[in-house]
Amino acid sequence: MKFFDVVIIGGGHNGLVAGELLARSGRKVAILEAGERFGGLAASYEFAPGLSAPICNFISKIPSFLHEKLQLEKHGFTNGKTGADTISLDAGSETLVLHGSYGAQLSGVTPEENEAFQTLRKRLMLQARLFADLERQVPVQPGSASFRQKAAIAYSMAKQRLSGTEEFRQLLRMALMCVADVTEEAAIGPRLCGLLGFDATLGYRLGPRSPTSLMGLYSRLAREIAGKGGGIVANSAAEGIAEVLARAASASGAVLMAASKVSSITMENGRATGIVLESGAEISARHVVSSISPIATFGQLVGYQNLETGFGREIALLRHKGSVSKLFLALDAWPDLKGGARYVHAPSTAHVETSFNAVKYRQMPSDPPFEFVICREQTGKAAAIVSVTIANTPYDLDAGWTGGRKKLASSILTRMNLLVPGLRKSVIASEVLAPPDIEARFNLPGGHWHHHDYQSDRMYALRPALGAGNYRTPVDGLWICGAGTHPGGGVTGLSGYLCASELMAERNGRWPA
Amino acid sequence: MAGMKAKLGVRASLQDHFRTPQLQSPFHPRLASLMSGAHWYDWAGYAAPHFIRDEELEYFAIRSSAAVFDISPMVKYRITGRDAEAFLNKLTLRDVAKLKPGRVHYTAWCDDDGQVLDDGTLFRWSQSEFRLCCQERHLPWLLDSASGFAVSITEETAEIAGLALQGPTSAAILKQAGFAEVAKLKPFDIAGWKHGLFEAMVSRTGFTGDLGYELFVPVNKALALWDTLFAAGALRGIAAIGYDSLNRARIEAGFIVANADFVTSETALRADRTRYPDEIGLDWMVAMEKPVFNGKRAIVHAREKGLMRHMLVGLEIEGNEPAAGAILYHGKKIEAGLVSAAIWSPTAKRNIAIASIERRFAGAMANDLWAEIYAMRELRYQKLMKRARIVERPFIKLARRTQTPPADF
Repeated sequence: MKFFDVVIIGGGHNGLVAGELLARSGRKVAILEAGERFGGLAASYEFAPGLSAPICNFISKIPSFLHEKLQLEKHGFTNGKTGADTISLDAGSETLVLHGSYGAQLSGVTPEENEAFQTLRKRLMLQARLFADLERQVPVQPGSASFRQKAAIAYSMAKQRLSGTEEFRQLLRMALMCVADVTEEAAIGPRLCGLLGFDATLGYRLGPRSPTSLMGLYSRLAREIAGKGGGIVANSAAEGIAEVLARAASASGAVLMAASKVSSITMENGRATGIVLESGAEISARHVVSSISPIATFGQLVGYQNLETGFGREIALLRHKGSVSKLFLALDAWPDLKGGARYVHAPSTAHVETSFNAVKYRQMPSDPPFEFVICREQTGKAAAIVSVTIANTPYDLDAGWTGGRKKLASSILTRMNLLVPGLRKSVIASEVLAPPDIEARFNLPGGHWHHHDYQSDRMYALRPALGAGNYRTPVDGLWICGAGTHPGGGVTGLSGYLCASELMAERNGRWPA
Repeated sequence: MAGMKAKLGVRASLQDHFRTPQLQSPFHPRLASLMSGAHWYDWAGYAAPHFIRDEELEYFAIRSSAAVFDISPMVKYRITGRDAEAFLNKLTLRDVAKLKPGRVHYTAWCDDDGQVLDDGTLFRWSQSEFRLCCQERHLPWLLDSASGFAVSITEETAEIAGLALQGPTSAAILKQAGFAEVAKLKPFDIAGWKHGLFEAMVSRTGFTGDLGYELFVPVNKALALWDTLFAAGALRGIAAIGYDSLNRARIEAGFIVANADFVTSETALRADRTRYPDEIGLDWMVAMEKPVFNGKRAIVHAREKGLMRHMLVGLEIEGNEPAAGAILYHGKKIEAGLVSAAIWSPTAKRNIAIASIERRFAGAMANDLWAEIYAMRELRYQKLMKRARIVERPFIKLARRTQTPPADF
């Protein structure tokens, strides 16, 4: 049997970040990945022989402090100076473009719309600063928080308060609102309303008119702040963040084991003492860190029978049915689009909201909003690769997904062909990954991007559940990180970083020599 | 129009539950015909007797002859399956592996915060068949606790009728009725009784601290069981009793009642009213060697950090005025606790009580405890400050309770 100080389940970006930091601290670390390649949803996906596409096509930057801590520059990864443009493809007199960090400059709008948008953006950015602060703090867990943790949140709140009475009142007023009401009262015009509504709800089981849907936008903007401006477009060709993180972890001394699916967590007298692989091999560890979904961690690897009922009930009730699908395309000709930008189809609030009905009633949406990026294909098998992210496609489709994938691809291509004439006939290969496919391929219950819903009842210390909100779990020796924990999904590495820092603060964190 | 009326009639006839707001136990016809008036109270939705004719006589039936108490309203769950033992080990505080088939034990269960949800008795019929009897309903909690276990759980409260036969002549009555095995039953043993009219599960258990048995039959055999017992017991002083006399016997025996002596954690409205097992005298149950059970982490933590604030104790109070509901004081000044049950004990000939006190008064300070009793004396309350002494529970110990084979009274 092999012994490690820490064994990390799941080689997604959070697992890699945690592994890198823990290995660098001198601990003996193993990172176990079920699949062949590391990076989880941050990696690229081979959708046709020899053709790969990024799964997360538009990602926020790794927060600057973490970027430095992980020395990603040294490993050949730069955050880039400015953010990628977001381009609304929908009809208007001019093409609507958000430049830089979430529309620091706009083009294609009237001067009135521009002014209204900049006022709103400024206010939202100010409010999102609180979220950005909280995202890099370990949540204060009732009864077990350190003075430092309590001081950190008190400082962040005070800082926000000091932004002025009016702005603080606005934060309290707006925090739980729906994004549609906020954008409509700001009078930024239908196309921007649609775009913000889409961005606030993509990946969440909410529509723009659902209460609290503004939270999704805060989360996105918080990452713009943490990463010093703007998202980046993933590239199928160049080395992505996943590969860089894997190399960094490896360089720090972590043992990376691919094709090593964990079948269970070993328990001894209520304490996690290691893992068993599907091959039957056992690995013993002082700490087990799971970066996979909490539903999989507790439901499959620990087993509900080994959890106290109240906590098991919380986990079993986590809302984890995904609603995002992927469509990958290989084109034999480069269309009239520019690379390095994000294209969005979300013409209005009404459009996004109506399409959200499909999720509520388990139907196939007729014209769902989507975003896509286009990048060069390096091997020469195709001229361009397009990675589309489609909203409002329910996991639990009433009619089932068997015929659904084709139907969805066809409706998206029809819409894309209207927006980008001629695109359809240049498609030479394509694949749809519906939520059940994402579930199966990435061992992700429900195929949910954020592992489970990221909403006000499942944020901060309540994520994934009270009692496991600071990366520790009710199972001694078992830690969790990943999108299912604070601060949720997106490729930020924050959850892995916070979990690792908590683990390192623990006494006796090393396997006795 | 006529059709619509007919439909309404059908619907109304399907929804006439409101006409009988209280359920009737399968023994109701016998209880009602013996009863002198209508002394009913509500026990878990069922009409249950406070007393049948006379509380005093019924108490002495328990201690001097044989008393029959209807326990059908008690909540009962049938728990079966390959993992039934493992499931119950996670659910309850005691080690179920130590409970052999054919035995019963008294146990309790907690939520994740280590607060007691209920107490009850667990019957183990075979390796994989159990019955859990308790005060409150817990089906959602039991089903959620069963995740990951191969176990089936059904509520059988309405399907199974139960009678407690308690008192010195109870064994003789069962023998007379044809249950020969009664002589062999040790306390907490279970046996099957194949009678010509019914098949019963008999356990040597009870809530009186006396020699006694509990019998369970399917509801359609309830009256046959009742009639058999009363025929066999005619010359041995068998009598039906209500809860008031049973309550006296249980206080003497030192038994606690959920939502009388402690507040169960699912029904408590105030966060500080719930209790750890250690706070209601059930610390001995907690089988810490089990790797996982509900409440373990919280109980370990509370024990380590000294978070247990209360203690359930037996008291002997000077004088003869029952101290029910009395506030307890230290040095007649500082509030120390509350009496939850109290009687003048006819058997112990002592004024006894069950009380919850703050832990800090239970040690060296315990010799200065006082009960404030308001005694009604001809339309005027007389306030009595009576010295209270912490004493061992049970308040009475009867040799016949455990004697095997039981004496043939």
